[in-house]
Amino acid sequence: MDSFTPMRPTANELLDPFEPGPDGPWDRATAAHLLRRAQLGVAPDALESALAGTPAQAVERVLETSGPADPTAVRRTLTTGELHFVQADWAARLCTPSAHSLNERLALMWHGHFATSDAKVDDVRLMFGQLETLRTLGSGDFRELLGAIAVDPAMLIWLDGVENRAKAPNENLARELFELFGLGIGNYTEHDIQEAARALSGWTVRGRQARFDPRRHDAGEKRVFGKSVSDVDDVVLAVIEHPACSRWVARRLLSTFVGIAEDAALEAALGDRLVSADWRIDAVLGQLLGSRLMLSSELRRPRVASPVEYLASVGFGLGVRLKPTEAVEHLARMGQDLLRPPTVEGWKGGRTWISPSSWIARERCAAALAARWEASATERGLEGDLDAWLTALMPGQGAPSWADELRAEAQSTNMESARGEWMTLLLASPEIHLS
Amino acid sequence: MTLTLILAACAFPAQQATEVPLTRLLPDTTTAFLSWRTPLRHLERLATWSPLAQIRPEAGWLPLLEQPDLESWVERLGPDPWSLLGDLAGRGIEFGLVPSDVEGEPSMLLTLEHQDADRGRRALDQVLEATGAHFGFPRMFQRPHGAVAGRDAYYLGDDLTIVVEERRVLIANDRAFLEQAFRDAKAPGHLGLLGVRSFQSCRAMAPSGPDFWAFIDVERGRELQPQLERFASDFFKDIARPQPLAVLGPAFSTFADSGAWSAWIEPEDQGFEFGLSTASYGEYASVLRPSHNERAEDRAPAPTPVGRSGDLFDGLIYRDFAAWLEARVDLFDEGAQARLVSKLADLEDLFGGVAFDRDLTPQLSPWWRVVSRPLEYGRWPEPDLALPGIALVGRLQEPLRWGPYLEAGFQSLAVLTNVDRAQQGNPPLLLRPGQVDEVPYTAAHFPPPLNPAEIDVNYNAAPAFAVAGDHVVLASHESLLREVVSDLRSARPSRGVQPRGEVLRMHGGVIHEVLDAELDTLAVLHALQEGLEVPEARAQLEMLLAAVRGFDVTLTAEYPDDALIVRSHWEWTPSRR
Repeated sequence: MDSFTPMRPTANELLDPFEPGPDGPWDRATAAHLLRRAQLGVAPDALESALAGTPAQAVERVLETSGPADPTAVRRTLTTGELHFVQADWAARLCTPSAHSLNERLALMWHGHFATSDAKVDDVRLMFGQLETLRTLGSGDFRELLGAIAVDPAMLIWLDGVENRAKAPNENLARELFELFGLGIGNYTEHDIQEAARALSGWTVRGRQARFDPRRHDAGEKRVFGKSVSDVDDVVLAVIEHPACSRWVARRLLSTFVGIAEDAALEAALGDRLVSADWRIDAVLGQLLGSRLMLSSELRRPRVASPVEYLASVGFGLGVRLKPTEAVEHLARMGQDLLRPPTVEGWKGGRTWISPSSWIARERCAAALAARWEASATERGLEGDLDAWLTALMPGQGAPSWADELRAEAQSTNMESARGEWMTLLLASPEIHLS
Repeated sequence: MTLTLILAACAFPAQQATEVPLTRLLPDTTTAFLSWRTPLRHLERLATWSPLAQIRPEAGWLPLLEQPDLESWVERLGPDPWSLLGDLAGRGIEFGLVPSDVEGEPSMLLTLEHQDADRGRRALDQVLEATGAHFGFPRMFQRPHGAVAGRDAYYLGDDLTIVVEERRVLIANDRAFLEQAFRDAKAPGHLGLLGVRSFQSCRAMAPSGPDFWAFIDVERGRELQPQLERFASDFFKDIARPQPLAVLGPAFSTFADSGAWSAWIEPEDQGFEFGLSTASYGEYASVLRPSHNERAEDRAPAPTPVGRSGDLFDGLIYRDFAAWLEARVDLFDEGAQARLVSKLADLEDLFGGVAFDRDLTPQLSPWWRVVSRPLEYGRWPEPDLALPGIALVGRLQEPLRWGPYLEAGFQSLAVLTNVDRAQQGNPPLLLRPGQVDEVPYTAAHFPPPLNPAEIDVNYNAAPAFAVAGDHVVLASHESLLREVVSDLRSARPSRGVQPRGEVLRMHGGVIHEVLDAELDTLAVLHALQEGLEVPEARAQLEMLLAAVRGFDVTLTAEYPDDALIVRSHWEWTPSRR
């Protein structure tokens, strides 16, 4: 007797558009998952709008938020020289639903990808300039983004590009351009790095502008990946043309939005689509967000929410936000100090977000959020009850296993007077810290 | 006739007992007392007062207490609750707080004095009736529930006791305490709070019969209230240390080290006076006070005034660094003393080998002029966020001998700063000599920015130093130093007379102009700090600026023996727009 073994879908099949019904339901849980991954949080009205239409329409609506916001207001704070205000402004944008939510989400992703820290750059205008580059180019042509970052003033300082001279080459920028930004380990040789470093020489930062000084540039013959290169543009082109590049970018997208750390087949398939889309991030992201891989409940993968995701989920769901300057401090204590990533690799994410000290920081953040919620809930008459809170914080997800016990406890005590404590318990519960 | 007498006796509810002043009723363990004359008149005046009238509640600025219970009770008082308050407390309100010595609730006693006894009584009856109705017992206050010291008394459970006198109502949260207070008041020679020395001292320092006066016995409060002790410890441990107090000055040190405070408010025609006083400060504060300086005539006199009409603030402050250093054994702990010695050795290098504590500071007057005004940047880059400059003016004995050492110190400091800045990769300060009205000076400037479109806030700093005659001037910007030196040169020098105290004058109109010019930036910063939308943050700041604009404030601090009196005169100038 023959046994029927269903075939595992291919990578391309997984990236095909999600069809409600055959691929699973288009329900509250699925729509919430899309919004949470794409925009960091689930605003109630956005969820209802998504459910009112098709998955493709929901994705389209998400993509409409990929444009950058007007930076005029926050630019005024640069004159103080304090990074704190730029961090605060960004934290507020990440944690508040807006017409630019996907844009901020992508900027955060690229900030972790092209990790640059103010700890060394020590110039708020340069850091802000890089952030603006990520916002402006982050959803567009990756080739343009990579080219801009390679000569970004903050990046040049961070990775010692300003030290790279003809007679004294510095390989840091070249190494990270290959290893972290464009290709991944194993796709280049040490000789490629040395040659690329020579080609990247001659750049300095003066007057906060990146300037090329031909006198400091190594103009000799150079070859990277077997091709002749002259300057930074050639090096960037060589990276782009390398078959590993599109896969490397695909890995970043899969990791960020789907939660898959490494899958060669998926990376190859998505990478091919990226190339076919002329390297447009928004185009390939649209395919990814609307795919079976993304939306099928069977394929969904939970993961530990980053500190920003945690704050944003509460901000979007409950409408509760800390004061931006306060939020920055909590984020730093939880391990995600915006514009100050710990290393060139950015934040590793996943289970590394949780440690004894970061968990204590999360609990303190939960208490601070609960206090804010309690103060604003009384004003707006939105006290609600336990079920309402769970629905707001975990839309579409079933109640956690402890909900019944908590519900019974709430009924037997005077919840009215202890709302703040109950909310703190909720916000500190493990389920809320999963994305 | 007999019948009439009997009826008259029955008609009077109880023996009309003599009013005992609250200050005698309250025991000597009272930690807080306040007295407020004519509260209704002040509240009415406050509500229509121009500055406050500009604060619009709908913009979300005022914290509106949404208490439905309270609103319901107020509704029952009738259409004009203000009038009731006026009848009840037309002659004033007094309040006393007495901590419990067994960690229980403190006892509180409030008195409302009537201008007119009959009207006061009618108002009280109305309030009691409304209160009874509010709690669902409309007739509960129809008759007194008892008597306290021969006075009619009404009780609201155990929480509230209301005692009625002819022209006064007393309200206490502790019946037993009130009864005891009346008993004690009968004892011959009993003075209660009135007999407390610090209370008497503070009362003597306030103007006679101020409209509002408050007293706090800090020492007693800290002994008896652990929470207050914890709060005070946390609050003061940061400022009641020598270093911040050297900057904050003798007024702060006196407050931090004193056993009792008092405050008063006295309305004036176009403003009000707000005053603070202390009594019985400790050894610590005495070192930093003007009256401690017994050799005042040996020191350089106070500097000549240098204020102009366009200043944000100007004033005269007392900072006796020589006395502060001389008393370091009393002020600093051992570890800090060792560090200070090391720093003084470093300063000796900076100042060309002269001892900062023994040679230089005794040459300086303990009095300093301070002035702040908007900067005219002239040929220098104007920062995107323009801040006002600030200058300190001192006076020096033997300026020809000691002036060069001070100038050397300034230049050495700039050089040292540059070493540090170079290590951080920051632009250096360039030292340049200059001259104004034949007075040479040294100024330090940052080099012009490489990107002229971005001039950061540090360009507000171009520190400069000059010795002009027997005056020394240290300014945050060269342009301000030039103005101050020029003013000193043209002023008639003041001599000899020791100032009575510290003075600081702040000019609201100028402050408003400076802040208004940066309002866009300030609004964004405020929005980020408070979690507001930018338009909302801007609206809040605009209201604040509107209130600031019309005010001129003068602060004075006087140091009579064993006390401190700080007065602030707030003058509202409505014609300023």
